[in-house]
Amino acid sequence: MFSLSNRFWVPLYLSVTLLIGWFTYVRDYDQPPYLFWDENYHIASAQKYLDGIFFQEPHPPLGKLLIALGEYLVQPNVGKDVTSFHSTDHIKTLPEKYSFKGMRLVPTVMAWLTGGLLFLALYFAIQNPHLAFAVGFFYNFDTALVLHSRSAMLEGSQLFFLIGSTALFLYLYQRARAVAWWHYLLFSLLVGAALAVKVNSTIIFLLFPVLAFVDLRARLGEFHHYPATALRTILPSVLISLVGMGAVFLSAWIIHFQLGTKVVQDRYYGASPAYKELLAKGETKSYKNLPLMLEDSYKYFANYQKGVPKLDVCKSGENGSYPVGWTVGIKSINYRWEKNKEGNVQYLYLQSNPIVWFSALGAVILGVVLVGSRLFFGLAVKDQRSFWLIVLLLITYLGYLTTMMQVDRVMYLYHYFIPLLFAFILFGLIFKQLFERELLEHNPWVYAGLVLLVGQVIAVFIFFSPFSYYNGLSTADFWRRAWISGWKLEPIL
Amino acid sequence: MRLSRGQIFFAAMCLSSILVINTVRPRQIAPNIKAVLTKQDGSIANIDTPRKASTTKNYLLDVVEFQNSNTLIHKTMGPLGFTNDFFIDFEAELEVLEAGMYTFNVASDDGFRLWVDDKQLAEWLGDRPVATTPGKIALDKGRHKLRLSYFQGYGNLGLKVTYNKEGSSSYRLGESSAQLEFIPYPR
Repeated sequence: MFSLSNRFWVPLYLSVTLLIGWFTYVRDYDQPPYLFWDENYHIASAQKYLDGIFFQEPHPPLGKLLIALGEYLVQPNVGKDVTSFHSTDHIKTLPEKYSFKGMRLVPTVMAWLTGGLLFLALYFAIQNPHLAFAVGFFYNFDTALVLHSRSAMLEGSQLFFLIGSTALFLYLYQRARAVAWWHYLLFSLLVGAALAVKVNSTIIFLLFPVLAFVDLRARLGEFHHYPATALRTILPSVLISLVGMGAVFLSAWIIHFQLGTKVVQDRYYGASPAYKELLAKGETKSYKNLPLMLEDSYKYFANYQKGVPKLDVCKSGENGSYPVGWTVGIKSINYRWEKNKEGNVQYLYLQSNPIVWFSALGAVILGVVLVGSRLFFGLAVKDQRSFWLIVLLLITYLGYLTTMMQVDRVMYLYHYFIPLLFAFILFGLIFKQLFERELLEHNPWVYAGLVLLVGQVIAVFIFFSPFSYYNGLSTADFWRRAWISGWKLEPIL
Repeated sequence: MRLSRGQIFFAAMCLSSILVINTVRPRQIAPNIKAVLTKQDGSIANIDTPRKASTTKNYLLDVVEFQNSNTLIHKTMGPLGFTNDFFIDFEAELEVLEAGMYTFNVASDDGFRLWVDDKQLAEWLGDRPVATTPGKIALDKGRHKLRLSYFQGYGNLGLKVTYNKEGSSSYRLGESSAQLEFIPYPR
């Protein structure tokens, strides 16, 4: 079986990964037909784009533009009165029989495709399609990722762009050849798009210098002997990257400004008098006014962040949590619940698949041990390229969490998705380090063990899936899922 | 015998898979006991305090066993969200397979009253720390009805009821045995 080439396995595994993801992510994505968590905000914003209403927002515009794109393409709510969305930033009631087929479409489809991109990223990183396929199950069968991605929220598109850029980076890193200008451009477009969805995507910047290093090394050999030459060589690539990132980031803002022209009920948000004048004169489509509108938007963003409360773990019903706790799934969030006719309670509960999250954490811990052993005890590492990739992913993972710890405002469990996906790749790399010879020799014990691990991931996903798909649970069944008190799962009694 | 790394990994995955399967396998709670939980609007001094319900909830339980704690935690259902001033009325129907003298031991904090076929077997009227009160009755073969009223006033709580036929082992109320079988709901 293993004698078949990767040209056979990679497309097959990619197809199967996408097929599985279709069932876990996309099927019935419009259910339940109720708003949950930040959908109340994002759908209100997306509808404003569709109807040309001016508004300002604490996030960059691309994520909501993509949400609006789905509604524009599918148009499932034609004839329904959604004008109430124009005069609020937080929808409380929906028109009768409102459909989520449009608003949830693009983030959900992008989240589904992210599964394919992650498989490719894993394959590029570890060069073993079987192991990459096995680790890919972590994404398709994580209860928290599935729930949060099947919604009109920002993380679905953000993770798509981030994992897309990571997959491209890993391809270029392992290829170890000179990086073409259009590779830089594509990479920077993906990074720019991720930034244009949410600003916490900035962690991906860490990959840029490594990409440049790989490029220079291929072009110049030991480039550090020639810093001036290196600088001259890399300068065009840096410029292309800046242009690419800037273009996609600015384009999102330009579309935002060009769409939002009508002011409803004097809702000017934080617009300055000069910006109000532009709105009154209908001059928001002019490029020369872009700096002013961008500055106003930045001021609104900064002011909004000041108003976001701090984490208060003593507060009753606090949904936020410390970044350190995220690594073990602390704390789960009850997005929505209702009692059904059978007397059970249906939940949309942001709850991790503990097998997946603990495997990811285990990879991080083993990664730190490996790097520590190399640094302090001179442990010999055969595969230097993979070793430095482990170092880079560890820096990215720990760097993200350290940055989040410095953030003053309340943060939530889903802010861990970015490092979690990096930890999945780390898991593949660490596994390869541990069982490199066995994997090459197609050791049946190792592959059978991997099959059992995948089986556990699926079994635990099914067990926790009522939280992702709004299926009813009795109180007893609910408590059977409260494995760790720190998750703070609270049933509705 | 020296195990290879691959074999150790496989063995670890086998063990963890057994653990996972045991944890996630579907479990049915035998619906042998009906329990009506009534939250009192006000305080409860003893088992005869007039009822003034603010909230009522119905449950089907496998056993009557609530751990000693400052909140109501059922052995299999987990925490039920009540702490002070509530009654629980339990009902069960049992099929006696072996006639004889049966003892029902009620360990409670606070008070209770127990009936079998409308005959009062035991009671503790007021509050108390966990203590056991037995009630005895001779039961013929065939169906019998059991009722138990329990109240929690203030502070810690706990309730566990067991039964045994003279000379036989003890079981939790709700657990069927060779001597006595509980008829599950719905009937």
